[in-house]
This record gives sequence, C-alpha cells and structure tokens, in this order.
Amino acid sequence: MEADLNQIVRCLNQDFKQQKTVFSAMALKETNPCIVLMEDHRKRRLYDALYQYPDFIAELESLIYRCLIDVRGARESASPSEIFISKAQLYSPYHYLITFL
Amino acid sequence: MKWLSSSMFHRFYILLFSNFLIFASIGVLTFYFAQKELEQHRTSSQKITSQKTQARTLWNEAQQVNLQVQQIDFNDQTDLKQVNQRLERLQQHVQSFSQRYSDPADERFTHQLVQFARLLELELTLQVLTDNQKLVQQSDSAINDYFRLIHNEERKAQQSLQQRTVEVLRYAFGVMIIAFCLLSYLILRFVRSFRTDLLDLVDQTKHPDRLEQNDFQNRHDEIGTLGRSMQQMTTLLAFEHQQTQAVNSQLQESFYQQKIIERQLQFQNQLATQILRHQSMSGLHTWLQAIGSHFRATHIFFSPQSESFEAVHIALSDEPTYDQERLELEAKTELDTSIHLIEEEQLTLCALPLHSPSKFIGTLTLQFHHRFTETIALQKTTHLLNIGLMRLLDDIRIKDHHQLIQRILNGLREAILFVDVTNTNIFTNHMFHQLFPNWSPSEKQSENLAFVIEAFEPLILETDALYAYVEQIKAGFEHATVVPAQDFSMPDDRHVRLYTEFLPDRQGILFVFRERTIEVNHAKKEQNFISVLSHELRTPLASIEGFSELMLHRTLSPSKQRKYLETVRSETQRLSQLLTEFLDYQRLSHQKESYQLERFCIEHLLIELTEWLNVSTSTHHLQIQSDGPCLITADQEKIRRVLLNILNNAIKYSPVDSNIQVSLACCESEIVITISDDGYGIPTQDLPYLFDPYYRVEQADHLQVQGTGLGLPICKEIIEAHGGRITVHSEIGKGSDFFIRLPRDEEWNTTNNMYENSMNNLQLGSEERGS
Repeated sequence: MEADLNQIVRCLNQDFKQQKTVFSAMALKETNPCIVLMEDHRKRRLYDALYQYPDFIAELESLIYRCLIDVRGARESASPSEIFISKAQLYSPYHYLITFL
Repeated sequence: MKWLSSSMFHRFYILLFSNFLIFASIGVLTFYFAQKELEQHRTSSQKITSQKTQARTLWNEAQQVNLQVQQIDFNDQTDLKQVNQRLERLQQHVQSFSQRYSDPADERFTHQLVQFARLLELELTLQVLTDNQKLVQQSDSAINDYFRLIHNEERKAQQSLQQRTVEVLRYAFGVMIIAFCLLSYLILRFVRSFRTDLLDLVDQTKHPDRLEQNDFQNRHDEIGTLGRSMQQMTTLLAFEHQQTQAVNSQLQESFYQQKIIERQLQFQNQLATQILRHQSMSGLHTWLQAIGSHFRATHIFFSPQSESFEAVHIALSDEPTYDQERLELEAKTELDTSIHLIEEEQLTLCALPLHSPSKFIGTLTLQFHHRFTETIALQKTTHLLNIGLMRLLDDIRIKDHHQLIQRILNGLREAILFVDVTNTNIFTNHMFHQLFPNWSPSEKQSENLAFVIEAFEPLILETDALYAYVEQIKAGFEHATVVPAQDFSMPDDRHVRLYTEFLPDRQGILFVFRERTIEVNHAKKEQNFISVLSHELRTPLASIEGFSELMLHRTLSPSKQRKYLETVRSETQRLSQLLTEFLDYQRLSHQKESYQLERFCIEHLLIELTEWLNVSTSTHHLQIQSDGPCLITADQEKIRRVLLNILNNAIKYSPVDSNIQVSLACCESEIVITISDDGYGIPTQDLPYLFDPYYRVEQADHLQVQGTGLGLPICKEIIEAHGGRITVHSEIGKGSDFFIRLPRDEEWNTTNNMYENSMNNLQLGSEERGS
C-alpha cells in the first residue's frame, strides 16, 4: 500500500477536482499501515458514532474502493484492501481518517 | 467766444444785407430798362405789322375789286353798283392809309393804289375794260417793294431790340462787376478788421500787462470787457506770483532736503536688501563696507561683545588708524549706550552702540577725514545693522537648534521625516536614509505633502493604501484628528510601520517610520511554525486515534492487534521525539539553553561517532579524514548532537552502500568539519530555507524519509550559539556537503553571543537567500 498511497490520494483528489465527489484527501502516514485524511466539503455534521451512518460510510467506501481498483487493478482483486474509517475530530468535525489495514 | 460769435455774425449779416440790396437794385433796374425797351419794340412791331396787314388788305381788296371789274357785266347795274361801292370803300381805305402813313415809301404805295383805283374808276365810268396788266404788274412790284420795305423795318426793329438788350445786359454785367468788386472790398475789409481784432485780442490776452488802461477803458465791446477782466486777473496773478515764488523757494529747500533723505533711504534700502540677501558672517563685511562707503569713512571698525561674531576692520583709505582713541571711545560706548564722537582737526571718530532689544552686541566705529555731520542718518543706518546682526544671531541660534534637532533625530532608532508645512522644508535623519536609501524627492515633490508622499511611491508596494493613507493624513491635518499607524511593505521584502503625528497649530507633520521587518518575519515564522507544528503534531495523533478506533471497533486477530499497537507506539514515539525536538529548538532559539563548556578533542568525537554509526548502520560506509587531534572549547554533548544529526541525515538521504566522507580541518583559530555524501542532493531553490524550522524538501526521495523538520534548525542554533557557522552546498543527484565552522579556543559565552548571533543569523539568512 505504501507504494500506491500517493496515486490513490491523487485519484481521490482528481475526482474531487472533477466534482465527482465532495471529498478531498491528504496522506497523513505514508508508511504501512497508511492513513489518509479526507475532508467532507459538503460539511455534513455527524454527531453520533460513524456506524450509525451506513449511507455515508458506503459513499466514502465506494469512492475509496473505486480508486483502489483504478490504481491497484488486478492486485486489488487478488488481495482486497481493508479499510477502516473513523472520525478525525482533531482536525474538524468534517475530517475522517481512512486507515489501510 | 460769445463775443466772437456775436461780432462775426453781426458783420456778416450786414454784409449779406448789403449784398442783397445791391443785387436787388441791379435786378430791378435791369428789369425796368428791359421791359421798357421791350414795350417800345412791341409797339413799333405792332405798328409795322398793322401797317403791313393794312397794306396787304388794301392790296388784296384792290386785287378783288380789279377781278370784279374784269368780270363785271356792265349791264347789270346791281353788280356795277356793288363794284362802285367796293371801289369807293377801297378809295376810302387808301385815303385813310395815306393819312395814317405818310412816309415816302408809304406814299409811293398809296400812290400806286390811288392810281390803280383811278384806273378802275375810269373803267367803270367809261365802262370799258382796259388792259391793266401792266399796271397790275407795276403795282404788284411796288407793293412787293413796299412789303420788303416793311420787312426791313421789322428786321431793323428786331435788331434794334437785340442791340438794346445786349446793351442792357452789358450795363447790368458792368454794374454787377462793380457790385462784386464792391462786395469783395467790403468782405476784405470785414475780414481784415476781424483779423485785426482777433490779433489784438490774442496779443492782449498773451500780454495782459501791456494793456494800458486807456486801451480798453474806452472800449465797450467784448474786448473792453475782456481787457478789464484781464487787468483784474493780472493784478491777482501778480500777487499770487509773489506768493508762489515764496512757496517755490520753500519747496526748493524741501526738495533739497528730500533728495538727501531719498539718497539716505535709497542707501538704507540697498543695505536692507543686502542684509536680507546675506545671511552669513561674510555678509557683515559687505554691510560694513557699504556703510563706510556711503558715509565716506576712511576706516570702519566692528568690535563685538558677543562671542558669536569676530572683530572686523575695513580700511577704505590709506589714512592711519587711531586705535587708542577708538578704544577709549568704544569703552565709553559700552558704558553709555549712546553715540560718541571725537572731533579733531582732519579726524572724526564716531562710535555707535549695536544692540538687540535684550543685549549689547558690540560697537561700530567710523573714522572720517572730515567733519562728520550725518550722525542722525548714521544712527538710523545702525538700526538696520542691528536688525542684520540680530538676524545673524537668530540664524546661528536656529542652526544650533537645527543641529541639535538633527542630532536628536539621528540618535533615534526610528526613521524620521518631518515636513515643515509652513515653510515646505523637509527634515530627515540618518535612519531614514538608511531605511530609504533611494528616497530622493524632486523639487516639486518637496512643495507639499502630497508630493512628499508621492516620492515614496516607488519605495512602497501598497501604493493604493499609501494614497488612502495620504487622504487620512490630509483629513487628520485638516480636522486635527489622530491618524492611526499604517503598515507598509517595501519591494526588498522589508516592512515598515508609519506613524503620523501633527505638530500643534499645524506647524508640521512628523512621519515616523519604524522598520518591523524582523517582527514581521518573526511573526511569519511563528505563524508558519505553529501551522507546521500543528500539522506535525496532529499527524501522529491522528494515526494513534485511527488505530485506537480501529482496535476498539473491530475484532482483530492477536497478530494484527500487535501490529497496530506497534504502529500506535511508533507514532507515539514519533510524537514524543517531535515534542522533544520542538522543545529543544524553542529553548535553543530563545537562547534559554545552557551550554556546558569544556575542552575536548573534536577528532576523538568524530572518530567515536563514525565508528558507532559504522557498527549500528551497516548500509553505509563512513570514512573520516583528519589533520590530527584538535582541541576545542565547546559543549561536547551539543556538538555531538549536531554531528550525529548531520551524519544521520547523510545516511537517510543517500542510497544504500554509498560512502559518507567526514573530514576535519584544524586551523589556528577555527575548525572546519565537512560531511559529504553521495545522496539525492537538495534542489537549489530549497537551500536558502533548509535551516528553517519544519521546512521539508518537496522531493520524492526526501518525502520517503520521515523527519520532524527540526533537526537542521537545532544544529544551526547550536553551532551559531558557539559562534560558528553551518552552511551547505548541494547538487541534485551528486550529494550534499555540510560545512561546520567552529572557533577553537575563543573565550565566549552564550549570553554575550546572543545578540551577535541573532544578527549573524539574519545576515546569513540574507546571504543564503541572495545566493
């Protein structure tokens, strides 16, 4: 994942620039296990724990997996990546940490 | 003028009237004679015409009677009787004609008619017709002659009338010529008399004194009236002439005095001009020389009491000076501040006190070769000299004040620009010229405030803000309100804060420029530092948070749990290291770090470090090159930290199996440690910022290496605290060379070096940015 992280982040940001998504991304930890910081520019305020917002998690996961497939291709099919999404209150209520397990 | 008009028109009317009478008489007489002659001619013409008509009638009647006789029927008694009657009437007519006209020519005509009538009578008597053709022809001839005669008479009468008319006209023309001559003569007389009168009048008007009383007393015309008036006027004028002469002599005297005063005033004016023009000590000589020349002095002395002036002696001739007398006189003047004179034969010494309203300035002494009488004028002149000297004293005082103000201004750390609004003068201090070395307002730009500020336009980046601030200043100056300070940036990345203060009574505006480049840069650094620090702190914290969440909300295998816990620990250590380095840097950068100085061998330290790194890091080969043992005085632990940091960087940023060269040059006063690697190299654009805190090179090779961005800044702080320098030279793909220079045995302490080091930091920073 280390090697692909920058490309994945670039892919996510490209989607954001092309207004396909409302999330921008930034690599926080570039060594395994990698962490990417994502910001929701729609500014949706999620007061409860994330698991109570399955639609939101699904939206974010679909976005990340699409980029994972785009970047990693066959490797992603062979060994699918596992991600964990958590709130990043340290940054803002609209920031989320994506941990690549 | 009225008289002239009256006299002239009176005479002119007489002349016109005479002219009318003469020409009217001539016309009437001519008309009378002409009419008379015409009447005569008409009568005679009527007579002749009547005669001619009667003659012709007679002849026609005779012809008719003759024709009737020739055609008569003698047997017809009636005809015969009628013819006889007509013949008798003819004879009666002939007889009456002959009685009326008895001239020979008439008689001949009558005779012929009588003869003709007799013939006809005879025929009638005899009743025999005769051949009277011959008689008729004779009669006809006679009658024609008669008519011709009458015509001649008519013509003669006409010629006579013509001649008479010509004669009358000739006489009339002659009379008119005479009348014209007479009139011309009269006009000439009139003009001559008028001219004579006028000339007399003019002559009398010009010379009323020549007019004797008898000349005009007897005259009752306007000349007489005018003459009498003139006589009165002459008398009055003679009286006034006497008075005028008296006044004139007074005026001449006054004029002479006035000229003297004017000359004196002119001189005083020139002197005042010179006093105004020359505002230096050299002017005093000019003034004194002018005074001496004006009053024709031979020597002029100025003995000052004030230390501000020097004594002056101007010799205007070769005449010797009388110093003793002069000094005595000056001593008197000092005691008694009034004019003092010494008058001897061919010598006059005149001493005058010169003083301001408050104090005695000195004595002005003039030496003359003649008797001096213009003391009052000289006293007045010295008033001007007093003013000039006071001006000089004021100038000296103002200059002293200016110098004092300039010294005070120069002593200030702030750049000062003072605009004297009343005199449009500009004052600046040294710091101002240091801050704005290129500030040079043109003459126009010195004229008013707006132009003064315009001169800053090329020196300030925010020109719009500058002009807005000028408007604020104008409004503040107008309404005496406080203008807040404004910050401006300069093109050379410097920053100033401009304070504007107004002097009381709108005397001037004081601009205080305080350079705040260090502050701004420091603030920027602080801002950047906080921004970077927050990011650097949040990144490991975010990782810790993320993995903690993961482990809390996911069921993980023990191996994964361990892995994530190790990551959490690693991030915690990273965070800890970051905080430690941050605190170290803060302590170092604020000179709060204490240094334990000791004398040690730097070669031993380098060898120890390279050997340890060779053992602990098997991926790189460290080699050392040294001149031998080299003792220095420094904090060994801090130097160790610096060297270890640089060496670790060399290992981290160079490929595996590459060499790292460490060399030590031990000079007399300093040591130079060079650490060279064959690594990735640093881009040229990043070199100036390499020692800035949290600065990371944005290069793929560099980003792979984890770092806090505080290592090199800490090294820099430590080396500079030791009075040394750390520099770098690098090329992409060829590696980097770090140079550390440290003083050897210099007695130093961190406290003393603090300010110097901070200054050096700034200079070094500038050099590196410039390079």
